[in-house]
Amino acid sequence: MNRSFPTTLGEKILLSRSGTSSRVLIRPAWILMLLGAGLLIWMRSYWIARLGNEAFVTGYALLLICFALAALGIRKRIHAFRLGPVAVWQSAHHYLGAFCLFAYVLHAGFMPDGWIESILGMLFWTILGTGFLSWYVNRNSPRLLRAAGPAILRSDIPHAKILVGEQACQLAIQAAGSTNSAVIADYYRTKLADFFSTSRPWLYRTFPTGKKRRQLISDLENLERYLDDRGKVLMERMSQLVHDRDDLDFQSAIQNRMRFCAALHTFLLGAFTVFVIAHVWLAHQYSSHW
Amino acid sequence: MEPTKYYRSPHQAYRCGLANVGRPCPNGPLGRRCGQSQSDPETCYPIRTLYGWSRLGAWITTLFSLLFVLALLPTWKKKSSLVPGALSMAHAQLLHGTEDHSRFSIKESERCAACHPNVQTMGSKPEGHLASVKIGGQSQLCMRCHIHTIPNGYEGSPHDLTGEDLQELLATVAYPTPKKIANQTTECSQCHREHQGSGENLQTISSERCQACHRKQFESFSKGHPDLENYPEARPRSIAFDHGRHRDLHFAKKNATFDCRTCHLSTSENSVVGNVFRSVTFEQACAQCHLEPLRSAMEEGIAVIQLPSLDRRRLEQQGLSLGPWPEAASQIMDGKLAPLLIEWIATTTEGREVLNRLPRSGQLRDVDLNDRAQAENVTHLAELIRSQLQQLAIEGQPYLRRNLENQTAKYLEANPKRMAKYVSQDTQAPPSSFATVSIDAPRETMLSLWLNQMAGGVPPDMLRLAYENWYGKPAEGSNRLATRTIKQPTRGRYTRWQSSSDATDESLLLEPSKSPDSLLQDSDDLLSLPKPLDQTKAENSANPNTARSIRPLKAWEHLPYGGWFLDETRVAMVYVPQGHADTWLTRWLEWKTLQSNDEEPGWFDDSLSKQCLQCHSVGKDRIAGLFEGNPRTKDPSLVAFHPPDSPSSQQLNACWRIYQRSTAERALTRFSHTPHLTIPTLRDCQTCHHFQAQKGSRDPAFGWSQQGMIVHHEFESMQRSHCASCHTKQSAGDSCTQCHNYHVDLFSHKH
Repeated sequence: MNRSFPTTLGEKILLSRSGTSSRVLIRPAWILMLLGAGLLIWMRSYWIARLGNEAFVTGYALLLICFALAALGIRKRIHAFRLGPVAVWQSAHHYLGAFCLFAYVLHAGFMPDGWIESILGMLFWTILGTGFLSWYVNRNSPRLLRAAGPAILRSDIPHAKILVGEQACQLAIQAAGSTNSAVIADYYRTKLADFFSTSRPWLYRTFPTGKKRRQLISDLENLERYLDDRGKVLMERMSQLVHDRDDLDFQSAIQNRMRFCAALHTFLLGAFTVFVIAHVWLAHQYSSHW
Repeated sequence: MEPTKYYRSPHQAYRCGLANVGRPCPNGPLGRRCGQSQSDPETCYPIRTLYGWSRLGAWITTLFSLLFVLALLPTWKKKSSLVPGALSMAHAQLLHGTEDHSRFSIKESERCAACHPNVQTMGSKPEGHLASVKIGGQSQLCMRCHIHTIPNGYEGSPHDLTGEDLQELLATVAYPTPKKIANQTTECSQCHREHQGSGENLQTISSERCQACHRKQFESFSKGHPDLENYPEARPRSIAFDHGRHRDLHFAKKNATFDCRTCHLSTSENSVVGNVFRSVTFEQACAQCHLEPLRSAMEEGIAVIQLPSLDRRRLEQQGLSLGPWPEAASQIMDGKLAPLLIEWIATTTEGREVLNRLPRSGQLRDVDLNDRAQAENVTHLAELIRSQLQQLAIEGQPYLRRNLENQTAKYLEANPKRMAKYVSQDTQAPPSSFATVSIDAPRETMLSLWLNQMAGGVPPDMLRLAYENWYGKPAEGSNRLATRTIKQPTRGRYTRWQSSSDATDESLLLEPSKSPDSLLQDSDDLLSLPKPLDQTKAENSANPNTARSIRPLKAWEHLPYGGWFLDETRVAMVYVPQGHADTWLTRWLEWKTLQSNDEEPGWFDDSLSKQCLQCHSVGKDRIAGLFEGNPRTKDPSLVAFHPPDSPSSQQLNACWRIYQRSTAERALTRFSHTPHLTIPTLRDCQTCHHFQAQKGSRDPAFGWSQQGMIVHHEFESMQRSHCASCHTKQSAGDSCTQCHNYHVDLFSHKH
């Protein structure tokens, strides 16, 4: 795998030092995380040792991490300055998210009691969970997309689908003009017209597979015995169009899935912020000491 | 057809409605509207993107959350809905008590404010003594309920210690500097974390918090914890017991088994160290051997009031008149003034002068009657004794009590330090914000109970009878005496006192003994056992003449259960104690100890003193400590038996008992035998408690002393390794608070 630019924080750090294989690249980020965890544990112990309220240490550390996590969204909206590639920021976001989990457990355990704290806890776990889901999807999607033909932007896919559909339609008209290839036109009318003109079902958009494509291409190949040489050429072109259309559907499903996870990850952030502010204020109001 | 770059950005809430049909508008949508001019025939209906839906959802949830929080805000001071977690079991009723039982629960509007000063709805600020305490507002609220269990909690000082105790503690701390710690105040919530759920034990403190000050850090109890230097520490003793001597000498002689559990194990109650006590009762542990000698010493009784013998003839030769004085005590100069008589005579200036002029030995036989001044002093003495007895006979117990009270007050006044403590008990009440009910009636104190028991034990009728027997009827106050019927008891060697209720036989009225020498007559009787009461009654009824010749009473025969009688031979009022731990006698022995000039009390009877002092030590400090009633006194032998406002006889006897640490007392180190004794290998006490080397128990300097407060130990110190074999993190636990208390009453290496 050749990469022309670093895409993760680990790569960025290590490439600046040596630039070796990807397995080695991840290590510095984990080392940083371990150092951060050690620092947090030490600060907590120090605070306990001076008879302070250690919940404030872990709480404010958590708040700081949340601000750092929110920086990715800000970075994406700022284009005026040279702040480095978003991929590096995103990688840092992922590692900070993992570190956030540690800080949260240190601060509040798995799930706190109380109304506000419980709601806050649930929001946290939801955001963190969708964050991890996004992380997983983001890591796996490029490989899947590369396997599904040339890269295409999500916003260009509808137009590309129309083009493929139009080509398929013209091909079917050509096939209808000859007796030895009319079966292609018949097949287009009965099966392929819907395939090229309608959206794929919900199940496919969630978990895309090549089953439909394989079935259609197999059906087309079964028509070969009714075709002459020209008809066989038309059939191969139709098979290619089915393949292209399926790739577009596949890319659309994968990219939509990524977008959906990202949307799920962010749409509770506002509520989370409100409850965080309320929690911090109440903690200061009710606690007798830091 | 190339799509516009407008659509390439994912951060758009809408996209063109024609994009799906391959003809997106060139300018893209403007918000919800199409970006094309209205005149353009190809306008679209923009479609909300996934980003748009996400942003809409974010706004809705944010707004909803904000409304939810704002709805709670106006009632944030009193709503338990803001509780961050369930309270511990002990505090749960603060939040979850039902309003129906408003007497016992807190109103919902005041529940948070009960512990959180920032949300006080009652508007109360610290008042009075609370305004001057060191701790913060929340801790003050804690102390509203916990003041009785942690009385020094208001100080907020390390371990609740102050003064010398705090300095002693600070000397053991390496870092931070002792001065820094001394100026530091601690808040309850620094260690006790609430809202951790009902299953949380608030008293469980992490070892890390202890090490905030105790910076001599170590890995665990087994690795690095300081050694147990001389643990358990030797403590002052109030009862003498030499384990080695008893085991090797007394028990060995009787071929008896020396089993620790006989004396130290209780099956019915628990002490501060579990069901093991420093000692169990006299009856269980000591009576088997010590009761008989004690009875022997008591059988003759104690001459509480005894007239000395004065030589009337020689005084008259000096031209002096002795005045009314019993014939039996008028032959020679002999005897010694009874301790009580001395104290009573010393109440007046004249009396003290008379006593000062007596021989230093106190023996009247040493008085030189040829010296007229000394002879006059003797007549003065006789007059004073007569006068005191007359007052006693007239006024009875009130006079006696008043006298005793004055004497005790003098002692307390002569010891300003004690007096200051005594007075301070009333003026410096422990801080408490609870309302107190004041009752005008005088409060019973330990001192008043103590005086009551002393005066109440002396029979007034017998006092009058004694006076009449010795001097005739008193001239003054005779009217008062006449109002009461005095039953005249028999007169032999001993005259037994009877109350008016049980003297029914006229024949028992006072009759002088017909025998010229009652002592000789009694001598036969002394060798014979008394007949059963029924048999005596039958004999009396059968032969009325014999009924009149009542046998003289003998203390050991006729008063086996204790009581008073008049001894005409000794010219004394005699008291026979009711066995071990006689209430009246203990009070008088305490009083005598308090009045004595040194720690060696001048008690009534040498043989009895010996029996008492053989085991007990009741020094002045210990007795005076009873009246102070300060449960947190430095003297460990006086600790916490008696809250000052609830005196009882049992508490009064505290200084006679072996010191048992109260469960209310908190020392720095705690230990309970109970869980340890469930381990079979530890059931033998000597597994842990090894006797010191043999020479120790026989070394006189090592054993018991008459002072009674010698601190010594007959056992070897415990070894940390013994405990550490089980007390590890994985096994029996090794946290600091498993063996140490934070809230302590006193700090000393001796406890």
